[in-house]
Amino acid sequence: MNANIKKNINVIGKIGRIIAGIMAVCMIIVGCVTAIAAGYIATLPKETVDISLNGTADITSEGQLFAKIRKVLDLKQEGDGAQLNLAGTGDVDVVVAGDDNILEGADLTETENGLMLTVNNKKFTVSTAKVLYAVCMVLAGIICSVVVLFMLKSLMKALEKCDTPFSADVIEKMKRFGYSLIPFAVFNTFSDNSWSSIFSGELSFGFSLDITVILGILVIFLLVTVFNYGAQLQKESDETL
Amino acid sequence: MGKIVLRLDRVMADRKIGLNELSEKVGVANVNLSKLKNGHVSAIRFSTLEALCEALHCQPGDIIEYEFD
Repeated sequence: MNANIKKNINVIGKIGRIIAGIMAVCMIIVGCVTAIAAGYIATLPKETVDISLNGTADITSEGQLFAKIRKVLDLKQEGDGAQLNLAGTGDVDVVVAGDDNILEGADLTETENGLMLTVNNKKFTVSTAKVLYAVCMVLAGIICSVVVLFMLKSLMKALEKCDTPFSADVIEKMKRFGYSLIPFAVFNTFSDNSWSSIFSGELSFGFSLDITVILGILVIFLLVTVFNYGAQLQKESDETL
Repeated sequence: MGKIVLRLDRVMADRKIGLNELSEKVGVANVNLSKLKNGHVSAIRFSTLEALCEALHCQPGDIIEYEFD
């Protein structure tokens, strides 16, 4: 193999190893902090964190719209504002501001029978258990990343030391790197829904495919196959005098 | 099935030539010549064979033989 090419590969391996090493150390530090935070949160009483957010929707109109609503839903005037009791929604009150232009906490849709108000009273709640869950998710993500980074580092180390990239050692490390990306991809696939479920107040399990990581894994295994063939050719070349 | 064997050691002994001297004449590292001598190679280039024949004043058939089972 050309000495320059070998030198370039070794330099790339060295740079990659250093970068991967630094990233791995950073991730480990972040992981340790997260683990400590998780441990601390786990010891907190359940009611320590209890945040509740109510979503509201503002609808503005030219003035004519709410006049129609009054007609359809028989609004009762109360002082400056208007109080509207919605049939079927029980205890939910929708307040129409005095200027007749702002309707809080409701969605308006047009139906065959006239206009329909739908109260948008979505609650966002955060509790200690949910914060702990979020921290654990972050920790799991960090662990997956650290494993990937260590595998990348060992691959780069193999490239740094190798005489030829088509060696069994490099291929083995490349394969391990590819395998280490699988749990990362699985975690990414399921974590998206878990994240959204933290703040929605409901646990939801679903998946959203992270196509980038999946393509990355496929490319790595394709490269492993190509490198295997390269190693076979390299062996034949080495055994030929 | 038989196999191809290298008889370089025999030819070298006949010519009373050492590994280092042959290495200098042929332009092949003595590590690689040692592999050739001990039969630890699976192929040989025509250029190497030509250089060996030139240096040892022999024919390819003197260096390479087919050994029947």
